[in-house]
Amino acid sequence: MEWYKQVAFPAVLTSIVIVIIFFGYFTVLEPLNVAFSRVTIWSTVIAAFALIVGAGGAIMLHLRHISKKTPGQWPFSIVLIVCIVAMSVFGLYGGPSQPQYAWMFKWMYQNLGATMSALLGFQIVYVLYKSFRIKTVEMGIFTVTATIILMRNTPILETIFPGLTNIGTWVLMTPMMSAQRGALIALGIGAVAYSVRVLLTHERGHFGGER
Amino acid sequence: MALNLIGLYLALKWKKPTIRKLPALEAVAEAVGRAAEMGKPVHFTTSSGGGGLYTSEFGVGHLAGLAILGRIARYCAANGVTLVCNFRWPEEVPVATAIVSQAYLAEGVPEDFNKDNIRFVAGGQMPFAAGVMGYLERERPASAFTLGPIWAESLNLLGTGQQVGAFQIGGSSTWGNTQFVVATCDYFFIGGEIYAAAAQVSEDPRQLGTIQGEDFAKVFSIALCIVGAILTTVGISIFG
Repeated sequence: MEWYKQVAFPAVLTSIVIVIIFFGYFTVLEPLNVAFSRVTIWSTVIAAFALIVGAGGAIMLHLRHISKKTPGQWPFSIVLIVCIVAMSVFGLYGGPSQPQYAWMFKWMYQNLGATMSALLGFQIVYVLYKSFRIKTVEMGIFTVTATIILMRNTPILETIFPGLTNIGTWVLMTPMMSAQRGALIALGIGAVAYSVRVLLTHERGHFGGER
Repeated sequence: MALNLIGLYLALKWKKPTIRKLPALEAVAEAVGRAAEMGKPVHFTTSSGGGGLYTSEFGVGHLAGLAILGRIARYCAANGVTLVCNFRWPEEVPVATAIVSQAYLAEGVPEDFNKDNIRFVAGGQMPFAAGVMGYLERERPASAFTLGPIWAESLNLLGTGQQVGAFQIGGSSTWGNTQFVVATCDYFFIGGEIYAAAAQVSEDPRQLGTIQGEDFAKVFSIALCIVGAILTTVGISIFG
């Protein structure tokens, strides 16, 4: 196998970049600082080319759906292709400030995104209905705590049950905050351990599956 | 970092550390088996968190999810199950393509690998959520994996997976949406388990050694917290 196709090459390259980024950020050595800024710019360029590859792949996939008339998919593929072409044409013609592009972004893209966010409210109700089954002690504690917090955030219930806000605030600021901070510490330590594995080229799962 | 290296040294010089079985990792076989019985695909995503592989805060979470993808892909290849991966960040597509193609090659069925199943959906958070929700509603996969830094679209993705009846395994490397993972998934990775899972997949003593070092760091942190709490209670302040 060619040397650049072996897993060791990208693993070692990753380690070199990690060292440059790490020491370039935390030291004031001129060569490392220059290397740090150059690597940062290169990653932006790579991300841009990756976007071209990803978008190109998505367009080809949806064109295949249209040509094959994949049931339940091809009408949406047509809409996607039309939107991509329209946004690309107007965006490349005049940039983000081009009136038609700005109009589509403001009145179509952002509103559709807000609609998706609004769906979260309905999803929460559905998930609560499906998930809050008190079958174990842990689920009982989960349900009671969630109910208290929900009631705390409902102003009208404060007038019916005075002191509810204080109870809910205590739950948020004491047990929940301590658990959250403990979990954040564990997550941070886990991320550092993972980074050490990547730096030492021990972690290669993201290069080509299990070895 | 020093404690991680100590754990690694002890694992290499002393004995290979054993870590407890992670139920969510053990359930991968069950999830893929369910898909094989039902004749439906398996869905995987690392979710939309952060800036993809290029951010320091969330890139590690994406990598951990992709490391577990290798095991999922091996099971899918061995059982003849279609694996579909949807990503928000385009730089993950070639990484996942390499992982999944290697898995199919390792199982001796490279002809079953279809690169059209490794997809870039959209660059925006909510467009990505809309695309994945549409896929879940149309294809109704038997099992769905959501492993990575999960953000606000978590409820959209996981809730839709629950609605279509998918067997869900989730894990978030961020804390903010873990409650939705717990509420909607059949099995889940809590907190740092997603990083430990990536090491347990390989069974490499060097990787398990860093997990051991991670535990050393947690014990050290707990000891610091206890000492700090006692000192603060008696009125002694070290930092002024």
